[in-house]
Amino acid sequence: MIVSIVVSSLLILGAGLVALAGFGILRLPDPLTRASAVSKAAALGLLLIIVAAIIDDRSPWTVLVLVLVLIAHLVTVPLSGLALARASYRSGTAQPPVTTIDEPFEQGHSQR
Amino acid sequence: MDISPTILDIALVLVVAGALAAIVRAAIGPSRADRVVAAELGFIAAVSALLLIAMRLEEPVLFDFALIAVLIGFLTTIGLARLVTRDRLTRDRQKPQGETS
Repeated sequence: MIVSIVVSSLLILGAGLVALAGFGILRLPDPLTRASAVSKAAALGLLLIIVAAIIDDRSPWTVLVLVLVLIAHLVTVPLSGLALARASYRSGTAQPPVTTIDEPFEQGHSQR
Repeated sequence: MDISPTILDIALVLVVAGALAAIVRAAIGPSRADRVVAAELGFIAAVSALLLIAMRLEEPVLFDFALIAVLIGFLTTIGLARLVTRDRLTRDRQKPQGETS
């Protein structure tokens, strides 16, 4: 019973975070903040759904596969978030009015 | 496997809402970087929906697909990010060969 309540709340929370990332990708002003919304909120939502699936189905093979999914997701999400932000910066499209600090340009690492 | 199907349906609807937002952003996104970000969100929503469908149908085999999908989605994101970056790199590299400005 308690397990069911925990799994249900984790599922709703995770799916709500994915929906929130969708809201953020529609509302935020520039590619950098949109990449932030995807690589934090949506990644955490998928993480919660994986944890809920692990708690829900406790057979050994399923737990092994899902832990592998968890580790792969945890390792790859920061890298893909970095690649997204770096791509949007290097392609020169991240110049909105809200982003005022440009540290790579000030330190001479990139010419704009 | 004692989760009520209603909870799973609500979660699926929420995940699909995120995927629809990603589709809208990929359609109207002003720059290519926006479309790559939308592709990343669509991939995460797809893996979430895969896990939810696996729990809904009680088919543990579908969890294996989630493992493959996470790894392939990572490679896809890296490749698309490199494609977006390459515009700027090739343009900068060709600039000294053209006009002196």
